[in-house]
Order: sequence, then structure tokens, then C-alpha cells
Amino acid sequence: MKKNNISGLALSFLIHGILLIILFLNFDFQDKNQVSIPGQKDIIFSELLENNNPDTNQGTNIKFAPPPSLLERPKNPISRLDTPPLIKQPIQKPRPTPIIKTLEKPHPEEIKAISGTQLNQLISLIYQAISRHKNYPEMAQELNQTGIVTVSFKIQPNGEISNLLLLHSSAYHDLDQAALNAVLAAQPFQGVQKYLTQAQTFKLNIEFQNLS
Amino acid sequence: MALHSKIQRPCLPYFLFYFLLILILGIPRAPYAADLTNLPTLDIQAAPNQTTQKKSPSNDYDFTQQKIQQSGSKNLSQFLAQQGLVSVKNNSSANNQETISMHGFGSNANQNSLIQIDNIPDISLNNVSPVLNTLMLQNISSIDVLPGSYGANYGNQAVGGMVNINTLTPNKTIHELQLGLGNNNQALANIFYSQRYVNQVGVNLGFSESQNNHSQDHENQDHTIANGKLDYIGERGSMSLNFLGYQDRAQIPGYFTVDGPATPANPENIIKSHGALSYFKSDYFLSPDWSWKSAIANNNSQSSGFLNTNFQNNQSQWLIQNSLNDQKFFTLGHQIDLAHYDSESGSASEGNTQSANEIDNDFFTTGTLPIPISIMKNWDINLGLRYANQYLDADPTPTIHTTKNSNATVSTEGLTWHIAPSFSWYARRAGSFLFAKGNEQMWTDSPTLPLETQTGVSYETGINWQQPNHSELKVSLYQLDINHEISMFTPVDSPFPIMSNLPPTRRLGVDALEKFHINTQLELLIQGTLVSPRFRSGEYDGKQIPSVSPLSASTGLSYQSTQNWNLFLNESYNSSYYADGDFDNTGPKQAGYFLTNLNMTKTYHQAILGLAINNLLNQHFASYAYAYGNNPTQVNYYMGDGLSILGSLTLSF
Repeated sequence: MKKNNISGLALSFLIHGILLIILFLNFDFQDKNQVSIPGQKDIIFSELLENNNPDTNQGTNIKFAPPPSLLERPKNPISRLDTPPLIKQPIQKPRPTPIIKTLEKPHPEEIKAISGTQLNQLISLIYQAISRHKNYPEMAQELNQTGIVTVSFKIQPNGEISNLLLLHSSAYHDLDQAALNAVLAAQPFQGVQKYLTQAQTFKLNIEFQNLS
Repeated sequence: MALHSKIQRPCLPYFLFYFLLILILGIPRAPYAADLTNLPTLDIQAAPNQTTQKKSPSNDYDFTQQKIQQSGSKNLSQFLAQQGLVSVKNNSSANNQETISMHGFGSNANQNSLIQIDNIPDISLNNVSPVLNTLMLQNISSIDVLPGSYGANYGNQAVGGMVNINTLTPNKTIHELQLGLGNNNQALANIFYSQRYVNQVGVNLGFSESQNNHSQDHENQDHTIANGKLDYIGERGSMSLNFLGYQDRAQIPGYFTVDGPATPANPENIIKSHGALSYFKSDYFLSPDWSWKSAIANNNSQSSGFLNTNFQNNQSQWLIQNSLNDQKFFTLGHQIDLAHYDSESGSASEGNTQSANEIDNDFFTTGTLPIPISIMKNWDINLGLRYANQYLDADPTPTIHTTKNSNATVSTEGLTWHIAPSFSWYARRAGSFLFAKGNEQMWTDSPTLPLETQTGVSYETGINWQQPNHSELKVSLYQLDINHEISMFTPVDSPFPIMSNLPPTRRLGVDALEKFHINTQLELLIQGTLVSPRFRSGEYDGKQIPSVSPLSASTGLSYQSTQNWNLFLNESYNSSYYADGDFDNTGPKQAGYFLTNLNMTKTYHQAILGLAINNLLNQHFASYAYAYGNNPTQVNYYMGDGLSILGSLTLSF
């Protein structure tokens, strides 16, 4: 057997071994429980659960969902919720105030929702606007990451959105982020003024499918 | 751990408090539920095969799981045989030795077409094709057919084209049982389980058993497949462990002679084979753009039996791949392949034994770069380079030991012009190479290892027009020149064929594929290849390369009714060809033939009833024909399958 072949084999084993060590040591993201919304402070799931400080939301116009365990149990529980939180601030006693705030009774005006044909036209308009911004991240495609992301958001009569919530995670950060980005990029929703006189909340399932 | 406990402890009262609060206030009174309007589900689908298209300008075609199911095919080779872009050839008497051919290859189609499973080369170490049907159709996610030379991209054997079979990623829950019965002693039982668990781990498990007598006496074949896959898809990487095993028992039928008597089968002529391809793959993203792909694979197979004498072949292979990939532009990789082959035939006293060890080392890089000139802003340049080394250590006879070192350096250069988002043009030059396998080097008339490495250059150009969910048109032209083509050849005054380097050859051809979505229910897929495969100098200058049909084409019409009816009609044509070994083109040509296949399915809730009819008009055709010895006028041939009807019931639970 030639020397260069033996060294080639040894090199390949070495590279392979190093790769496997890297894979097993670093397979999960350190920041996997973080979802970013452009122009806003990053959302860190574990911080929301463990350190529900109202200051976390300062400077954002986006309110976060209460812990999923209180709303609906996802069909596929997200492992990131079970991981220890990142310690960025001194531990404070949980203060229930912000959650109570989000669970406040809605303003009576908000309940006056549109219906019938007008609602259907509005749904179609919003759906198409978000569709134009749909994106399947390349890395997620390559890795065959699939899943359903459920988001809800409130559309103001001026087309801007608020209260963007991630109700159900796909279990993959990139897909969750892509779903939130699609909704954010679609605003301001043109033409909703025709249908909305007050804010209306919508819920959307976004399914990422890899057919290849 | 102490710190961890401190962090966790306050959570319990917090959750309990809100749990009780929710109970008291009532979930329906939550603000987001009061005036919530549901929007329809938004589907975001990944473009199939996107990465391959970026890296290699080509007219490839991706057959999805849906297309495979529509065809009603029982196995992979049956499905590929329905596609005009690919010819499925059987270059032996045994019906378990099918192989694929692209761009005009005959008896050496196996060596000149690369089959990959999840990008792992599935290569046989002798001149018989690896068993095609190691994968259950349920375990296939898609099949990429890539006609053309891709030596720099995929290495050894990627001369006429490459077929990559992607196994199913367990993203959906599938629990399926399929049972089938048909004429010609056909029976089929498949069970398949696919599930993704909450911790991002997925599992595929499948088992298949089938039998068929191929419409002839003494041509029974039993085939068993076992497939398994365990995968993990994380945030930044994925890993999978795969097992594809098979066991096969095939009787060798009798043969016919043109203008002569039929020779009945010897019932003792039986080939038994079994093997498994096992591999571990990982794909890890170092950054959103850069990934490291790695694979380690083991391929083992044994065949034994009686073909007028006892024989036994053993093959084993270890393959390790590593590559660094930029998602858009660049790949750098290394592949090493360690292989062992040995064979025994004849009796203990007058037997023949051979063995060989091979080490193949490949270093490769490919890249696609946008041309940084404003007037060519929609142009890409495609480049690739591969250096390959083969070290062969062989014992062609019990008394001779010999070694050989071979090298090949191939490159590819191409241009792609994205004329419009749905329309592109490309032109490329691509080198290819083929190392003689250990078995081939020993199957010559020399006690040394005399075969030269086969080298080739292909010039290809084509257009690609795609209108998503509507129509597709792909046309390409090519000229493939090969030197030292490795092929079976029967010398004058010898009844037995040997492996040899042929004189220079040239293949000129055109591939075309058109897909029309006639309406939401009807789809038409037309594929065809036309090739002129000839010697360009030497003893057979201008003669047609035998065992190649210059024209092969297929049309597939699928109809999906709203009542869960599915109908698929396939018509394929292969034109006449000279028998294998008839390099002089003096023997009789084998007639061309049409085959008609029909598949119907009806879905009832969780059950699917299917009826698959192959060779509906019961056409008689030769599956393999060869000129015996050095007498091209004596042509023997084996019959292809006649009318075949298979009814099936598939239950999902």
C-alpha cells in the first residue's frame, strides 16, 4: 500500500473524528431560544418564563404570549422551554402584573368585529400580503426542518400590526423567525382601512414543508 | 447545579398562580381569543433540488414521491423504466442485475452511470450493477435524474449521468401496510412505519417481500428488502443513520436464438445474493452559509449460486466523505473509498480464485460565481476540479500478485445565463473518468493489470424553462467523446468475452423533457433522448456502439379526480439496437418496442385500492441480447416480461 494512501486515510479519519466531536459538543445553538424581530429587543423564551420582568418589554410595541403551558399545550412540546434560562440579570421574584395586563378584558370596541363578505375580502387581502413575504430559510431547507408555526397579531386600522404573538413554535428557531418576519414584512397592510374601523386580531398557521 | 435549582424554584408558584388565574377567569375570556379571526393556513414549500441547481448547470429532473406513487410501480427499477430520460438495462441473463443507462451506453452502462443514495455512491466492485431495488418506494422522498457528465462534481462513474435517490425524511406520520397479488405468481407485502418524535428524532422502518416469475418458466424471483433510518434534525445540524438491506433469489431462464431453436432453462441455474448499505451522515452548519457535510458508509454484498458451475463473489467497501460547503457558491471536499473484492468459481480442484483491494482517494472543489460585470449581471460561471487516485492491489491468479496506481484530474467549466426568473440557458464543458475496477482489471487476457483509465470530455448546452405549477420545458444537446472506453469485448477466435479498452467513441445526442399541467386534474410528462453512439476512429470507425437504442421516449399522463380516483397511463418506446458484442454491426438488429403501462387507484378513507398493469398489450421484446462468441450472426436473447397485472390494497393506520 502506498504511503500517500495511508496518510490520506489517516487524514480523513482525523478530520472525521474532529468533525464528530464538534458535532456532539455543539449540536444545539446557545441562542436557540431567542427570536429576533427587527428593530425590537430580542425575545428570549426562557427569560419570559423565568424572569417575567415588565422591563423586558420596554421599548417594544410587541406584547408577548403568556407561557404556552397556560394557553395551549403544543402538540410537540419545545425542548428549549425545558432548558435552564440564560442568566443575564439578577434573579427577581416573579411579578404577575404584565401577564394580568395581557389578560385584561378587551376594550368593548375591539369586540365589534366585521363579518361576512367584508371579512372574507379582508382575510384574502391579509393572506396575500403575508404570502408575498413568505420565505423558507435556506439552512432550514437543507436540514429538512419542517413544522407548523402559529402566530397571532392585531391589525390596526392604519395597517400597522401590534401584539405579534408566537402561539405555537415549530421547534426550530429559523422557521419561527421566518414566520414572524413574513408577518412583520407585510405591514403596513394596504387597503385594510376600507374594512377596519378598530383593531382586529388574527391567527395564522404557517406550515413549512420540504418536498424534496 | 445549586445555581440551577435557585433559578428553577420560583417558577412553580408562578405557574400555579397563573394556572389558577386562568381557571378562574376562563380561557375563552383571554383577550386574543375574544375577537380572533382565523386565516387560512399558509404553506411555504421548499423548492426541490435547489442546491443542486445552483451548483451544476444542468437539465436535471426531480421525481417526487407523489409521481412515484402515481406510477403504480412495484419497485425502483420499474419506475425508472417508465422514464424516457433513463433506460433501464439488463446486461445479463439474471433479472436482478438491472442497471440504468444515460447518454448512450450499452453493456457498460453500469460503470458509466452513477447511482447515489442520499449522495452516497452505490458502486459495485465488479461489472455487474449494484442491486437497484434496495430501497422500498415508500422510503424514497425524491429521485434526481441528472443526465450528463459530472466527473468533477461526483467523481468516478459520473460519465453518462447521475441518479440520486433521496430517502424519506420522517417528517410525517406514516403507518402503512400494502398487500398485492397478481398474475405470473406475483405477490407483494410491504409494511412501512415513519414517525417524527417530539424530541426532533425521526424513524423510518420498512420491510418488503415480493415474488414474481416474470411470465416464464424457471424465472422465479424472490426479493426481500429491509430499510431503516434514524435521524435527528437540530437547530444547526442534522444526523442520520441508515440501513438498506436486501436478499434476492433469482432463477436464470432459458434463452432464444434469432432464427434458431430456443434453449430451455437449466432449473439449477440460480443466483442468490444479499447485501446491505449502511451509512451515517451528518450536516452541520458552521454559519448560516457554511456547512460541513460528512458521511461514513459501509457497503457489503455477497452473491453465490450456480451458473453451469458454482460461483461466489464477495464485495465490501468503506467510504468516508467530508466536504465544506458554502450554500451559494463553493464546495471543497475529500472522499476515500476502501474496497475489497474476491471471487471463486469452479470446483475445488479446477477452480479460479481472484481477489483485489482498492483504495480510491478523491479531492474535489466546485463553485458557482456570479460574473461581476454589469452587462452580465444575470450570468453565473460554474467551475469544478477533481483529482482522483486509485491504488489497486490484486491477485488475478493464485500465483501472481500485482499492483497498479492510476490518477485522473478532471475539470468542468460552464456558464449559466438567467434570461428571466423562469428561463435560463447554459453551456458547459465537463471532464469525466472511470477507473477500471479490480474485477475488470483481472478479467482480461493478461496476467497483469492492463486496462487504462477511461477519460472523457462532454460539451453540453441547454435551455430550462419552468413555470411553477404549470409547465416545464428542458432541452439539451451534448457531444461526449471518450478515450479508452472500458467495455466487455470478445476477441477474434475466442468464445469468451474479456474486459478491454475500446477505440475512441463519440456520442452526439439530445435530451428533452416537457411537462404540461393541462388543468388542475390532468398532467402530461413527455421525455425523450436521441443519441448517435459511434466509434470515431480505429477498427470500428463509424460503427454504432452495440446494445444502445438510439431513441428512447416516454409519455406519462396522470389524472387525479376529485373523487380520489387516480389514473396514470404511461407509454414508452425503445428503438432497435445491435446485440451486445456486435461491434461490426453485421448481425441482426433487435426490434424496437412500445410498452404500455396503466395504473389506477381509488382512495377510500384510509385504504387505497390499486390496479397496476404493465405491458398492457403483451408486447414481446428482448430484455438482453448478445452476439455469441465471435460470431455476430448468432444472436441469443432473453425475453422481457409479458403482460403483468397486480392488484393491491394499501392500508394506513
